[in-house]
Amino acid sequence: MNVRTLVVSCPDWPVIATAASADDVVAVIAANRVTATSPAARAEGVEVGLRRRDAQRRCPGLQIVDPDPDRDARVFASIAALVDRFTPRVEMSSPGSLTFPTIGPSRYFGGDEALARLVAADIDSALGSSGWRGAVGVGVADGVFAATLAAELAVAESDHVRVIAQGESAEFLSPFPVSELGRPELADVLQRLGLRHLGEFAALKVDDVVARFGVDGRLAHRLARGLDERPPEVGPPPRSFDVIATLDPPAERVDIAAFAARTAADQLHEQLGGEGLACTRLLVVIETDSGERLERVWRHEGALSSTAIVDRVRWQLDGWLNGPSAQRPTGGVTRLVLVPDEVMPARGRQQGFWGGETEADERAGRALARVQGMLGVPAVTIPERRGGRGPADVVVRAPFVGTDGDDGQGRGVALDAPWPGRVPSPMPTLLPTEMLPIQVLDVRGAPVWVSGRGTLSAEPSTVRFNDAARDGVSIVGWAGPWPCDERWWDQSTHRRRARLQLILADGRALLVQIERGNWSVEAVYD
Amino acid sequence: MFDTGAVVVPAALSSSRDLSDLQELAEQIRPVVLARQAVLPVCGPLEQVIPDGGLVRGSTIAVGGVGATSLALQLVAAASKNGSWVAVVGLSDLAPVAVLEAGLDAERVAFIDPGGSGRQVDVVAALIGAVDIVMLDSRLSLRDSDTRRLGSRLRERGSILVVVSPGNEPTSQWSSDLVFTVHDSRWEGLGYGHGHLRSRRVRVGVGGRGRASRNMQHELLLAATGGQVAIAECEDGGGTVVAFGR
Repeated sequence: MNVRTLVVSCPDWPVIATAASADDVVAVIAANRVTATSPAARAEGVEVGLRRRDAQRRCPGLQIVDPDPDRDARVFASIAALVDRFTPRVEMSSPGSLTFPTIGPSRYFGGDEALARLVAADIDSALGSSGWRGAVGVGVADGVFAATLAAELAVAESDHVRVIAQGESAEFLSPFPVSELGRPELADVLQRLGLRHLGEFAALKVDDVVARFGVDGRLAHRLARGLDERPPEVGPPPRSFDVIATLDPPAERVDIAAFAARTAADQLHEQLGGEGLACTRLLVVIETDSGERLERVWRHEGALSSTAIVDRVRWQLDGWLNGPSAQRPTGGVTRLVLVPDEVMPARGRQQGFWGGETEADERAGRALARVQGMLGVPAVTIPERRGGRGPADVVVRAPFVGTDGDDGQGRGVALDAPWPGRVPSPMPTLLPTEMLPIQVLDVRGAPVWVSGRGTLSAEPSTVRFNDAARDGVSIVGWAGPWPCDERWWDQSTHRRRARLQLILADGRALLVQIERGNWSVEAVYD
Repeated sequence: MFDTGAVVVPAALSSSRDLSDLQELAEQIRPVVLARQAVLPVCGPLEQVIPDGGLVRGSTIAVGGVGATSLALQLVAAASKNGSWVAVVGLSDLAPVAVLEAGLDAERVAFIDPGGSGRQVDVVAALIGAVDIVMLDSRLSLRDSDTRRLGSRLRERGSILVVVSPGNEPTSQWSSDLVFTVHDSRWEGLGYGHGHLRSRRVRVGVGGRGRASRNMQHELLLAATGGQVAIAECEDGGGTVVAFGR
């Protein structure tokens, strides 16, 4: 028997969390792919899954935001607090989505439909104040999978509620494409077998599915039939595995508490692993020195890895300690308790033999996450290839998002992809962080400039770095000008400039540019 | 129960032949640290410049002078390709494109900007042991007590610290095992109004402690075509020019 479940889903959440208004043309782009958009951006044709360049081509004025799960989770904590008024059994699945079983509250508030309407109206009015009315959907069905799909459909509906009657989940699911199962490889095979919809997959016999697709296939088959996604072996832990971390002195800051959480999460993971178990639902509890007790349940479709546990605890702490002042605890955190609420047999994880994720990668990922805890998420970046002409455009620093499931694949375009007009290799090694104005002078000491047709007014002879130094450094070699007229179709990002490569008498080599008649150092070949 | 002292029978040591046998045996059963684990690889030409033939785990390396950034990237590129993580702390003006062009693996590089947080010591301490190579900006202010503490943590955990001073003398704040001073940088490929920068000839002074304390001078070709290669004609103290090809 399936548990009637209510799911609140907010597909635009990563955009809402950036505090953008609904009319802004915003997209969140992770690893070169669009992962979330604002309604205004969708109206321009920017869809989830597009590549950065394609999104920019469809909508030149697109505002691009980097992903930040911490920010998403911190802001979502206030939504979770709203839903807390209906039931104490709210479970977070990810920032932007939460679920709870309706069995108690449904009877109290007068049925599933009435409950869903109340929840939707409450969240809608909270979001409405920032202009995001109608960004949320509430779905009720048997089981989380059907309810999530119902909630996603409900976003587009006028009252943002979709209730699937008891026992009708299988019928509701049957017209959905098999890609909704969230298993790309399985969906690919099914499509080639001619099974395009969940209904057709569900009609197969269980024995046949297990014989062909194994355990995971059986799980997907259960989903398609509208059965509980949880396999029968999922259940409460056989004994208590609670891990308690005591903080002395009480922690006021997230990074200190999160550091304790890391040790606790490792300990929990080790304990469970010792009995061949993995955690699928986790209760995070904190107690403060003024006697408050806050708790929240996090759930995950697969098993939570040690890193995933730490991520969720950090998100939750961030939401509590940096959230709106009405919900913020008044004292420092003195105790942190992690309670595995539901466990399943661990299927183990194979580490990569040829490439793939190794232990060293995991260790480095953890250290970087810890540094993010100290300095904030934007302080840690990784290189991402973007393509472009200038040295600053070819490869940029993209935020490091070390959550579960990021395999780091497809991080941008190849470095040697052709870009006509690109600055030739070798590339400069230093990009001044602030504008470094200079003067380029000819033999007589008159300023050199570049004409509209891209020719130099005179041969450059000296460079003067600032007005205070009277004598400049003489130029012993130069090449250029290399004119560059970029993004002329967009007023706000249009750049027209010309570049020169210079070698100075002191051995330094520079890439300088002239833009609107002003010379500056673009990059240094160190 | 198993007293190992009893295994060596004094009588067995009576003849010198047995003693040499024992020494041979001891040599065979000595716990070995694989050379590959203790030393991270560097690209061919640099192998001949560094006395140990690679980056020794737990060591501190200071790089300075005009061209220090390129040399530092070339030093760590081979290790990165071989699977080591590189964390760059500070150096907020380092161009990511140069990092990838030098041949570092994009999947295993992270830039960390401590900004004005004042927590650079904690950051470096957290990274040591977790990543193989930490590249540190010499412009970050650290106290001498911090560098001593981090240095001993480094030796204990086996990471490598590369302290880069772009355009300045190599830092003397760390007790470095290896010190690279880049000077006499001469670019090739750029004429007067034509061509473009192609490669750079530099003189690199290698000093430091232990075997490196002889202070050798080498002539290297940095950032040759493609930005990848650092091939050199090597000039020893004696003045002979030894060319070794790719």
